[in-house]
Amino acid sequence: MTIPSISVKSPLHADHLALDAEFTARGIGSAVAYYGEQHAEQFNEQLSILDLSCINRIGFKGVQTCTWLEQQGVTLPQTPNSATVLPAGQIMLRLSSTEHWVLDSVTKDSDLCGQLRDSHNRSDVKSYLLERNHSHACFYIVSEPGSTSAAETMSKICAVDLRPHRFANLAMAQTSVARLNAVVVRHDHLGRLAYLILSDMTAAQFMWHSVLDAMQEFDGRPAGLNAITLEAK
Amino acid sequence: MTEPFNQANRLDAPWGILIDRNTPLCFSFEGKAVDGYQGDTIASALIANQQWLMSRSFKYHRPRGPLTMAGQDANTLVQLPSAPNTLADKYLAVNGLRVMGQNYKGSLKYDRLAVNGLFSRFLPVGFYYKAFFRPRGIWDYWVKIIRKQAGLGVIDVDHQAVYRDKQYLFCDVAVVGAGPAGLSAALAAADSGADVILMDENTILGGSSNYSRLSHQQLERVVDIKTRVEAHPRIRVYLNATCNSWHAEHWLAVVTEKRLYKLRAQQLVMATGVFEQQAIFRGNDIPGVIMGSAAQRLLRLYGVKPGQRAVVLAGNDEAYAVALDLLEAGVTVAAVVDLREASLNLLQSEAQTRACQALLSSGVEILRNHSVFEATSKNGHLTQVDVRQIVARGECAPHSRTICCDTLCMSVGYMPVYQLVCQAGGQLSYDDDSARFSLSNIVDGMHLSGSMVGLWNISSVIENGQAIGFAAAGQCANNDESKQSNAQFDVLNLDVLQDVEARGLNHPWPMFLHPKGKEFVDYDEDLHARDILNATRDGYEHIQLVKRYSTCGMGPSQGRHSALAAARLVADITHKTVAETGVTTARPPFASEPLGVNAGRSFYPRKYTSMQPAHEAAKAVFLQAGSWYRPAYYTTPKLNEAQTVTRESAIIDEVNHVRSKVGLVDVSTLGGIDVRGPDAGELLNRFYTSTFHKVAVGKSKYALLTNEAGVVIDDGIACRMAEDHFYVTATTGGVDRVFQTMLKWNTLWALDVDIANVTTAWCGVNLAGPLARKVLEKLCDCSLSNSDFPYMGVKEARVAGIPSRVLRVGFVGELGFEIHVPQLYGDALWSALLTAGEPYGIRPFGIEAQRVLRLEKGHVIIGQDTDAMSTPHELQMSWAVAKDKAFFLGARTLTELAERGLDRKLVGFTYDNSLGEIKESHLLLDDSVGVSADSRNATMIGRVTSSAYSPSLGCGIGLAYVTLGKTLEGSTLSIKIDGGRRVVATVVKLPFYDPQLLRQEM
Repeated sequence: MTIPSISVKSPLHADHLALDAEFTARGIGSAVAYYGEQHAEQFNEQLSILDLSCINRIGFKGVQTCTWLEQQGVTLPQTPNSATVLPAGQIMLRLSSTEHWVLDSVTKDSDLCGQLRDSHNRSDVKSYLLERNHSHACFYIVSEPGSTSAAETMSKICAVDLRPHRFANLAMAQTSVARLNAVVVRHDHLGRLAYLILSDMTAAQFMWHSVLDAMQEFDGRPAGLNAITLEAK
Repeated sequence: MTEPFNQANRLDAPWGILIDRNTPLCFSFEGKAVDGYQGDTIASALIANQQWLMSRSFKYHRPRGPLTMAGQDANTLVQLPSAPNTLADKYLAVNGLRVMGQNYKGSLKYDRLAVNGLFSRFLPVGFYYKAFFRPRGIWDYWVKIIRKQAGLGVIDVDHQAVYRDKQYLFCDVAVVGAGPAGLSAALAAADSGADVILMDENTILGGSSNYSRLSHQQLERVVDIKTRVEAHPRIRVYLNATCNSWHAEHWLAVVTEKRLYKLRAQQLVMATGVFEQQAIFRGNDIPGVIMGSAAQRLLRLYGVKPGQRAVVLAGNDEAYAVALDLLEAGVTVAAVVDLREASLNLLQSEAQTRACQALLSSGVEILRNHSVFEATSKNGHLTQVDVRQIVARGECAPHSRTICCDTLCMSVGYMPVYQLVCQAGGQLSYDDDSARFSLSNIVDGMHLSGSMVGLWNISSVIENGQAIGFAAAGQCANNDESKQSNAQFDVLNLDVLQDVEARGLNHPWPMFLHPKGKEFVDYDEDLHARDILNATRDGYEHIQLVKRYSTCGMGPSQGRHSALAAARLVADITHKTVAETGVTTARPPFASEPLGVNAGRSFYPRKYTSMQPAHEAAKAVFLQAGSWYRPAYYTTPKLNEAQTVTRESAIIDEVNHVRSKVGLVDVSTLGGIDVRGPDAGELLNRFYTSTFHKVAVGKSKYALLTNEAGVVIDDGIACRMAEDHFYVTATTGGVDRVFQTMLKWNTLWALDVDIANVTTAWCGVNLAGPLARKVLEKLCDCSLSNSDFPYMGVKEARVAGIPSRVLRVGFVGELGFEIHVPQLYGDALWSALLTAGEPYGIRPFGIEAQRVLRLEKGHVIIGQDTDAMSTPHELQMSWAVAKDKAFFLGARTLTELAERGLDRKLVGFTYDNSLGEIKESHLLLDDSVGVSADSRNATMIGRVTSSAYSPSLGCGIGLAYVTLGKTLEGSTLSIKIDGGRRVVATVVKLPFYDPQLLRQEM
């Protein structure tokens, strides 16, 4: 399958609009750049959640997946339930010995997913493509500096011990979050404790509001991509 | 007790460590203003104002006041505006709070229902069971009267629920109870490197050390530990947190006011302490009769004198500490009535002697070998006690002596807070000779510490806690730091017998029955000693049966004060030991909890397809299907603004529209499974009933799934996208099961196949109706002619520029195309199709219309038209079962069933819907005795599984299981509809509509 030129919207588009969001073209569609009068620096002061559902991601599954991905020049995590970050900021997730997901960089221009898709379409490798852009929504929960509020938030919706001293950076858990199957990855952002949640796209609204509810006691709020992209620069 | 509320019983500092005298507050009780201080409970403020009467007892409506001042009994249940049954001795008073008594008629002080107590002789244990079962049906009469009398408090149905949520917690060592033992255990565990959670149901750390009579040195030691605990980076403290249940692998439910914590600990230290027990004598429930520890709590925690003139009933040496505390607080101690001939604690004789001398020098009379035989009251409060010499176990001399007092403190024994330990399988044992409890059969990883294991001396308790804390930390996984340092503390795990203060804490028999009764064993249920004895006389000799027959221990305090007394009484009358008798089972929750704790924030995922915005814009009415929310029907377009769209009219309009023009339905919730690999065809061949080897690329085939028992469990379409790739659909509710089952069999068969559940990665629509091709041709990049794209064909194409899987199927019996696209393109696809179809009058239709359309075609819905016994042959779907396959799931059973013959079949029927409405689940009755015969005597011969009005046929149609004699075309079915009437239906051949299949294959 080749990607059409049609820009897609996150299932949360209406929710973002209600928060006076401004959008920017990213990945396969439009992502929130910022909300209302919010500026990037606000991100520094509060627990945040970002909707990354429009950022490219793709999955590969099959006995030859590891070999093939390595042939594409990708560094893979050594063990299942872990992740690595590539130099250009893309994240490789290893779900099992035969299944990997690729998340394009949030902060840098990258189309590794597209490149891998094209390469895969041309090959006859025994590795099967998984449309993770469409099956899984993606959220990013980022603590304020020096805080573990993201872990506290997760502890209200997930039964796995995700505290920083128990769940290392780039560790992954395939578990249940707010009673939905989900993949949780700890992916700290510039020294801040942060978690990625990948869960059912069709329940994206439910997950978004569940996390927002859990964040409320820490004054957690939605943030746009500008917050992390500007800070990364 | 008629003085105005003036805090007359309030003491000066340093009494009252919990109250802030600089922050006064005022609330009302029974409409009367009550002054107190911040930190007061409702009960402490009331007692400071000499108001002891707080509630009325459950059955006899006896006046009741605080017993423990620790929320351990039901005597202080009061009514708050939005919360009945609030424990006044736990609930903090706040400014403006309106508090009322509960369970009375008239006023709390003059309760007309107190007359019940006069008839207690006629209300024996088991009264309900004995009185209301004859004549037959009389219970229905009595129950209305009894219900008016029963129940406590009033529920505020308009109450706005407060937000409560849940949180998971994790730690290496969890310590339940923050008394001296728990504090030192937590500190030791944390010092050894463990991550510790310390919890306590009270508002401050320290447990009993906050109110017990300790030396200055002892207090300083505890304060030092508290300070270190509070400052320790590895200890998290949760106060006002009640550990309400234990579950496997030390999963604890910890309840706080607004949150339920789900705590998982590697190791668990139980330092929950003890419950003080009451003495059993007539009038032991009168307000003013309290536990010795309750008096100490009032004094030291709240700065409140329990009364002006007290008597202390002693069964152990702690009673003397209570008497000394009372004296120091300015209470006159009229006498210490000691149940013992001499202090049993001989090794403590020096301290005991000092205490006695101090009391005697203050003019306190000490009456040894005496007991309180009866307490009496005036205006609902204690006025005097009848004290008598003990002549034998549980027996007093006839000669009585009356002592006037307004407070009686009972210090006769303790029982470990065993509930959580026993929830974890622990065994509570009692030694009749020493009157001591012990807990055994402790689950791995659980450690007991402090007074609950019988230790009493504060040094022993602290050192024991320390040793236990180190031991717990040492047993945590990956905690090498503590394992190394743990060995030196083994010696500190003290033998209980070395703690001399622990000896003689429990008097073996503080029970003196009175000829007139009213010696309360269970305050909650108004059970006095005679009730327990009568239960055994009625034949219920086992303690568990006594509990159920008498309801002893079934009230709010869950046997905290009745378990031991009841066991002693049952043991006595059955000539067993208390150890042999045992106590009743402790089950969660440990303490009562608001329903909101469990009913608070919960997760019920809701799923929407990517076309949801379009459905909402078209004013769809949604239907829940599992987690999915699907359009049932649409309320637009309307012919005009005045038109009222009903469910029925919308369905008929939508059905007619699909039959005559073209409609669009969201089928995204259908399951989707990609089966890829060289053995994909082989897997499907073994998995489904049909043959899939020969299905050509670009073709699809109906896939029927049976389990090993030959029962139909799902169906769908298997589309061959490539030689090694099938895209298989499954039912909305069944896809997860199909996916899991497919994975299981693929593993067992070791085929070279990859299976992926792509249900949410793809969404889809069904474009159906005679004009469907014309609409799709405007958007699709391939030929859609019948020759290029015949019925059951499959193509990968671009529709509106979107990569799509297009299936030519006919679930609704019209020319139709299912278009499946990646999920996030669903909205774009839907819009493009509506725009392209505008010239052809396209409109969306919901699943209600789809159900009617499929019923007209005679298609079954798995789960609705099938049950746990349905085979393909019963469903008249033998055509979907390959005859020439050696194997598929359920093949062998189906072969055997075929040899046995069928008992029933699913048939189609029509009926005149003007005669009545046949609904799903209506029963088919044997009409051999005439359709007007009494239904109750008729034989049931089947049931309706689907039924609807068919706009296409203009009559009612349906599917029903019928016994074999009724399956032939033209057979009449007698169907009992709502109201008991019968409607006659006629069996017809399926499908109802377009039997030549001309429309779907056009």
